[in-house]
Parts: sequence; C-alpha cells; structure tokens
Amino acid sequence: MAAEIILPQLELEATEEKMADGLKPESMEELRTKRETDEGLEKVRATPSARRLAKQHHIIIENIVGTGPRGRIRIEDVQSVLEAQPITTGSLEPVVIHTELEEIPGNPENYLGGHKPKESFAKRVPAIAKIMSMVDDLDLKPRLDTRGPDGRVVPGELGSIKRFKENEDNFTGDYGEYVKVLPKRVEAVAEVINIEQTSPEIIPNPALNFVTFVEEAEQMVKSHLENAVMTLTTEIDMTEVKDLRKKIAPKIEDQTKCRCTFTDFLLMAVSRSLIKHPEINSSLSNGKIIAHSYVHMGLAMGMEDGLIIPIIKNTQAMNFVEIVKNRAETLKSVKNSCFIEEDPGSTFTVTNLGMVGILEFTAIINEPNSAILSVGEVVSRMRLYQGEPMMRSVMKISLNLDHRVADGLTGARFLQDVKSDMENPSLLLF
Amino acid sequence: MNNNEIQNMTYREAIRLGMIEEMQRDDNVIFMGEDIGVYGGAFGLSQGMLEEFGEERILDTPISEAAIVGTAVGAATTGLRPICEIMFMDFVTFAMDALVNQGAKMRYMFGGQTQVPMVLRLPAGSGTGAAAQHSQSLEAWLCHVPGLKVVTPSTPAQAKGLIKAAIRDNNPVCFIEHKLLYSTEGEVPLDEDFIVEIEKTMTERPGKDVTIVTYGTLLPKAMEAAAFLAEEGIEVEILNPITLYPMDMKPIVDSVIKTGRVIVAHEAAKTGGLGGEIVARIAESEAFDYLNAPMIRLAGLDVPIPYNKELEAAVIPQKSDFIRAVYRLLDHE
Amino acid sequence: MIELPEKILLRMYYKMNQARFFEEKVDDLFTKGLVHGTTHLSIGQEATGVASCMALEKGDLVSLTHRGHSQAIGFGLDVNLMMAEILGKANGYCKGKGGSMHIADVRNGNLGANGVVGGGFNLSCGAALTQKYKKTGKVVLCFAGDGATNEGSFHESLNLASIWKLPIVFLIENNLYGMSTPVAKHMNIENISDRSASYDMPGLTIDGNDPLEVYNILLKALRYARAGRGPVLIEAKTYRYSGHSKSDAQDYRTREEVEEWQKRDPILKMKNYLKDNKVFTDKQILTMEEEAKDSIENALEFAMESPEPEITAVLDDVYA
Repeated sequence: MAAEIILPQLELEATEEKMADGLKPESMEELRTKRETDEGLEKVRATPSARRLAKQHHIIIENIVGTGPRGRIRIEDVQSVLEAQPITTGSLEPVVIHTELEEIPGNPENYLGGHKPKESFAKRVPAIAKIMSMVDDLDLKPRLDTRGPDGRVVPGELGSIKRFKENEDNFTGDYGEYVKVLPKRVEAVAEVINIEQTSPEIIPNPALNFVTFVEEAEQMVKSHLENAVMTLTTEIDMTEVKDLRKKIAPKIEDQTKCRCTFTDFLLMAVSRSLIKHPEINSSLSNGKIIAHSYVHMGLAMGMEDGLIIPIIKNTQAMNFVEIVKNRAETLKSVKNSCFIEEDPGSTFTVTNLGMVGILEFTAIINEPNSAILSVGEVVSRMRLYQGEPMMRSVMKISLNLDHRVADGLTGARFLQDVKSDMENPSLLLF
Repeated sequence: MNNNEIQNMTYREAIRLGMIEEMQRDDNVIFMGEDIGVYGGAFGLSQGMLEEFGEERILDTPISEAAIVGTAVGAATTGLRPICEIMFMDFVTFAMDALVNQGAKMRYMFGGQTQVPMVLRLPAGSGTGAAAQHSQSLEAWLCHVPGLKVVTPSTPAQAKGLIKAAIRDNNPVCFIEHKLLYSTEGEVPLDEDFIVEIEKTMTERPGKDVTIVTYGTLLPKAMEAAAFLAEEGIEVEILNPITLYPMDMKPIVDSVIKTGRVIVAHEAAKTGGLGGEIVARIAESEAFDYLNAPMIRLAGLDVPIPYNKELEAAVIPQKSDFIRAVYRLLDHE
Repeated sequence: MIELPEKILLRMYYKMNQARFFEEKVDDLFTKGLVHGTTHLSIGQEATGVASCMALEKGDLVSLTHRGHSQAIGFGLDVNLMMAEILGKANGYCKGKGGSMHIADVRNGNLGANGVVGGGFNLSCGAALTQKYKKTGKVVLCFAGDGATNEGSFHESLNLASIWKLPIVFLIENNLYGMSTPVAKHMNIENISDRSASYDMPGLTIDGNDPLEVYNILLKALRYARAGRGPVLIEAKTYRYSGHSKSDAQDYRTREEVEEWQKRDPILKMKNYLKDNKVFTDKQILTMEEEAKDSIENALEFAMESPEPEITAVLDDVYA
C-alpha cells in the first residue's frame, strides 16, 4: 500500500559548491571591499526577506553580493543568484509523493529486516498530531515544537531519536536537511511494530525496547476510544509528608546514595492501596479481568525527547528504602538510556506533571492497565486544619478508571486509602 | 429606516449627524461637555442640538473635566450612554483618573458585573496655531490602557459610521477627531444604520511596492504622496487603522508580506508613540521574514508643538516626508 | 432622639457586629500571611458604615471607599461572597479579580469600593444623574474619607452636584487621619462640613461613633436629597483602631489616643443603649452577637471551600 508523505521539493545535491560557482571573481572582489568597510563586524548585512529566501534554498548568504545601501543584501540579490543557478530554484509548494515505504531511504526494513504492517502509517500521523496538540496545550512547546519543513509535526523528532544516534550511522546517501528527518519518522514507527510483537529475539537493539511516544500516542487513542473511563479526584494534604521527608531524607540519601522524593511516599501508599483494591490493579484482556496479586508500577516520565513508562516491579513487596532505591535507579537507567523493559508490563501507572506546574489533570489509561493516577503540583493553599485556617501544602491526584473493571466506589476507596496513608506518612515507613 | 442616499458633507457635520441619529434612536444617550449648549460647542459640533433635545440631554457642564468624565462613568454604569466632549484633547489630563482608573477598569475589576458604555470625544492635533497646550495628539497614552477602545476617523463617512458604532459600543470609547479635518468634505451615507465597525483597519489605497500605515490627518497627506508617486510608477498601499486600540493588525501584516516595505506615520511625538507599537508588532509577526528594508517611522518631532506656522509644520510629517521615505525604502536616494 | 423600630435596631446591631467580626477575621488572615495583597480595616467606624446604610431605601445606591467592609456589610452584601472575594476565589463578588479594595455589587446598587481616594465622588454624580434623568426617586450615598476632600474631584463633584441638584448624600467619614497625616495638618478648618458653604448645600458635622445619630441624620439628609432639593454634605467624626493598611506601624499616634476612642466604641454605645432602654434582653443581645460571629465563621468556611478562578479567566471581562 502506498504511503503519502509530504516533502518539500528540493534538490538533494550539495549546494555550497554551486554557490561558489555563482560568484564571479570581480564580484568576489567587490564583496571583499564592501566587507572591509564594516570594521571588525563579521556579520553580513541582509534584509530579513533575503535571509529567508537564501535559507529556503540552502544558499549561504555570506557568499552573495549585496547591492543595497552599504552592501546590504536584498531579496533581489538572492533572486539573481537563484536565476543564475536555475537548478537550485525549487518550488516553495510542498509536493506530495506517493511511494511504497520500501522505496524510502532509511526504511527500517532495510536494516531491521523485520516484517511490519504498513497500512497504519498514514493513519498514525494525524493521531500523533492530535496527541501533540494535546501536549501543546500543556505548554511544553519548547521540547516538542519540532516540525517538518511544511509545518507538519514530525513525530520522529519527538520520540526517542537521541537513542537512535548509533543507527543513524547506518544511513548512507545524501539527504537534504529536511529529508534527514524522514528516516527518523520511520524508525519511530518501527518501534511500534516491534513492541507490538513483543518478540525480543528479533530485536537487534535493546534500546528499541522503549515504549515510545509514538506507541504511547497510538495506545492512548485506542485506550481513549475503547474504555469507559471515569475520573475521581481528591486532594492530599502533603504537609506531613513534607515534614517527614525533611527529617528522614538525609539519612536515606546517605544510605542509598539516591534522592528521596515525594513520589516515593506516593508509590509506597499507592502500592499498599492497590493490594487492598485488586480491581484497580488489574488488566483487561479479551473480555477477562485479570486482577494481579503483585504491583508492577509504571512510572510515566516526560523525558527531554518523549514519554517513557519504565516499570518498577513488585513494589508491593518493597519497604520504603527499597522504593527510594528502585525508583531512583530506574530513573537513572532511563536517563542513561540503558533501561530495558522486561516482560510482563505494568499493572498500574502513575503519571506526574506537578514538576511542570500542572495542578490537576487526567491521563489516558496505559493499556492493558485498568487505571492511571495523575499527580499534580504540590502547592501552598489556605486550608482549615484542625478548625483553624492555615497554609498547607496540598496536591491533587486524579484516578482515571476503566468503569468496566471497577466502579466509582472502589476507586474512591482506593483513593481514600492513598490519601489516608499520605496524610499519616510515618506509617509508610513500617 | 433604510435610506440609500449619499450626501456630501463635512467631517464636522458627519459627527454631528451621527450623534443626532443615535440620540433620536436611544433615549439613554445624553451629551455632556463645556459650552455645548447655546454656544454649540467650541468647534460647532453640537449646533442646534440643545433645541432638538433640550437641557435634560444636552448638558452644559462647568469647566470640570474630571467631573465630566467621572460623571459619565457613573452614569454609564447605571444605565445611560453618555457622550462627553472634552474641548481639547490636551485637557483629558484632568480626567485621567476617571478615565483610566475608573472607567477602563470597572468591568474587569468587578468581575464583569457592569459595563461602561460611554464615548469621550477628543479633538486633537496641531496645525491651528494653538501652540503647545491645545495641539497635542495623546492617543498613545490611551492605547496603553486595556479596557479603553480608541478610534480615530479620517474621512466624513468614517466619522459618522464610527461615532455611531462608538455610541452603540458597550465600552468606554475614546473618539479622537482631528481639528484640521473638521472642514474636509466627503460623501456620507445617510442610512441610519450605516456603521463603521470598530476594530477594523481600512485599506485606503491598494498598492504593491510600499505599505504606509497612517491615521488621522496624516492620511490625506499620505494619499497625496501616493498620487504623486503613482505617476512615477510606484504603487503605495495605504492602510488606516481607524481603531487604534485594540488594533486590527492582520491587514497590516498581510500588506507588509506583500510589499516588504513599510512606513508607519503619525502626528504624535515619535518617542513612545503608537508607531513604535505597530512596527514592533510587524517585527514580531511573520511579516518580518518578508521585509526588504528597515521599517520607517514618520512621526512628530520630540518637541512640544510650537506657535509659529513654519515651526509648527516642521514638527509634523508632511507630504514630502512621505515621498522621501518611500524613495529611501526603494533605494532611490 | 427619635424612637426607632426594634426591627431596625436589631438589624443595625447585628450588622455592626458582623462587620466587626468580619474585619477581625480578615485582620487575622492577613496577619498570618494567609491572604494575598493588603486590606484597609474600618474597625471602630461601624456606626458610619452600617447605621448610615440602614437609612437607605430599596433601590438607593452607594459608592464605597477603600475602607469599605463595614459600608458593604451595612448595605447588605453577602459576607460569604465578600470573604470569597478577599480570598481571591472564583465565586467572590468580583470573581477574585478585585479583592478587598474593589468589592462591588453593581446590579444591586453598590457601585463598588474605590481604590482611588476621591474616585467615588464623580461616579456618584453620574449615578445620581441617571436617577434624576430617569426620575427613579432614588438617592446615591457617597462615602468618602477626610483625606479625599482635599482631592480636586471633591470640589468638581460637589459643585456639579449642587448646580444640577443631583440626589446625593456625601458622607465624609472623618477618622482624623489621612493615612498618617492628622486632619489639622492637611486642612485649616475644624469641620469639613464648612466646605459645603461654597456650594450652597446643607453641611452638618455629627458624632460618627453614635449609630443612632448617624441613622437619624442620614434619614433626614436622604429625604432632602430625594425631594430633589440637591445634595447634602455630612461629616461624621469617627476613629479607626487599626492602622491605615496592613503595613502601618502607627508611629503617628499614641496608644492612649486609641484607647480613649475605644471607650467611645460605637458597638459598645449601641449595646448600652439597647440595655438601658430595655429594647432587648441580655440574652437576646448575646444571641445576636453569637449569630453574627457564626455567620463570619461560616463565611470563612464558604470562602475556603470556594474554587480558585481558572487561569483562563484572566482574559475575561476586559471588554463588554
């Protein structure tokens, strides 16, 4: 099946050489004298429109002779260079190429050798864009605002591209600046394929084992469409946790060499509560609800280059110090890109946007989990405490729950238990 | 009532007609100001209105600008739709608390509980030999206050359509009229429902080579300059932001993308003037990438308006300044 | 002194207590740093704030000062919504955008507390012009402080109001200090009411700490204005116990002076009147006080339970 990919029309050969050709010796001379008048200034005078046109055509603006006042390069100067080099003038309009995926340089099949279902590629892009726009709303633009030349979202840039650095070396041939993006996009899709098959033996690179942004997007859409989701929100008074952490953190950090965070308390409380309410800690597959007796905690992490859900296994059996240690090490391994997701997957997921100033939100259930807990920022608010108005540190948590698995009351009781543990946190240490 | 007739009239008559029509249409519209009754207004804008509407609706006030504007704010928030005339825009300084701290803020500060439908008519500008205290163009001050709307018509038709829109608007609208334009003539639709929408920038002349953004009394000068340049084959596009705040930037940005060259001109002093804001907004927009030359501001010199006729003219951009600026943009110099 | 109906005395006493408790609670919240911003307390000025409003008719309007909690409570604003506003909550009177200095209820005739000293004079003229133009028979009660009478707007508005015979009662709460400056340092006259002479309007100086006197005089003044005879200027001498705002060290006056005035407390005065004249039993008085206190506790609880405004609301209501 043909995939539709939109590329800017441009020629792929190196442009620099031609630009050098385009300069006549005498104009070179002229340029030099003009430059000399700008003492010490190594920058070139050019109008914004000239710069835009030059950039669009990969023309090095410094090589153009400016005919404007004091040697300013004007748009006409760039145009005359382009006219002298007809081959370099490209249409500004994007061109739609219909092609088989195999024909695209950098197609994962070329180096992964695996089979892939191609049909979903075209459909995926809008889905990703949709998630993108959702994330955009959270104002995380700086790390996500990477777009293709035609303004479209290029998911490859969003996912775990950095981790594919070594693979990039596998690519040969000349790509223009923009074309380079493409293989990344296809790579990202390749990850989906491999994860879906969950057959580790055909995966040559352990780094591919990440749940990537792309898969996340895909699964989110699916999850959102299929589940009967309800949301429950409660507020936790974090003041006690804050005080307790201040007291015990130095000792724990000294012992484990790991940072002790609010999240550790929360993971502890959530694990305990999950064991009490196995419906929340269950998976739904083929119409069957599988309640788990263990907690494999998925911890959604917004990384610089995408969303990752590493898993901490058997948290129900851990004491507080072990939680601190496991969480910190998992985090570290993710950051160092050596985290390997193991089978089986998570039984429950916690996601936290508090560190980016989100007070309260709901997340989409990470399938096959039946619930996800969204954690907001710890903020200082006036609350009645023992009958007196006082400033307290509070945090909102929201449970998104698949109503086919558990009802609202169960969810509420689960949250009640989390809340009560968090508000009496010393019990979490035992 | 629909009336398709068009009549030639002055800018002064157009504003007066607009006010009269709105006062006939809505009993809640009242008109306050100094010497607007028997005298007929310092510039004759309210001639005959006292006879038509009586002392209850045409309210001659003491020389108390703060009280005029403050009273208007209080009346507007309790159900009337006052029009105030401040004899010279320069005297709006007396009324700044009422306008800036009360009228402009009331709706927001009270969480949307109220609205302040009032019009402040402000005769502005130089060219009359009235010197420093009666010739200023202070629109930039007003455009710095969220909650106010600031409009300024350049032609009789715009004057009538805008004064009507301003009276019907539910916000405090500062209606800046230029004294030199009062006697200019133009075609004005007599239709009582003829309105010039607020928050629209008008294209006064289409062109493709250079964009000129200007308003008020500089518009006729820019138009003359454009006619002169057209004979040389230079097509100037002239845009008139008749609503200065909140300004409709889109036509301006679109025009700059088309021409790549822009002149922003106003009579008010350059430093802190509205031209700086317009130019900055162009630079922030996608039009930046289409600029072929540095943007130019033509504005009043940073001096008070002098008395002597030649000196006075030297402060304000003239037709020749427009022509020179266009040449400069096109590198003809 | 005119005998007042029990119903009015009851409301007056209840609301004065409510105002006192409200401000004490607000003071407590600010002192503990639990509330954003600042506040200007009128503790000690409950008679001018509350008793004056008791004399209003339904449909009359008021313009308040920045020291306006007592005035607002006297006018009948809901203490729950006031407290919610002070806490910056979405369901406060101004959706959390005004705060202590801008509590308003324009639909019901409260033109708002005004953060600008002297800002309310002109607005009152406008509101009164509307009443006159529409022949509603309603009056505007314009509150202002002693300091405001030195603003130019005082002169412009009183002049305009008198020549146009606008139905306004200007009530100057003279609490003897313009922020820290004693009245004697900022004007050369003993009584601010003397200023009425230049506008040919009635001017009176009264004891602002006597609620019944305030009520009775206001009743007369409002009747005068309502009859279309023009504005009235009333100066009520009173005293605020707390500082100008929350950042006031009060170095400009002595503890003794404050204590002297506390002996003339308006609520105490009213209580003694009610007891001496056997209008209410001690138990009834206590019940009123307790109910007033409870209403403020409830208001705080209501306000704290109330939601914060949505961040997106920051762009709402700039224009109509």
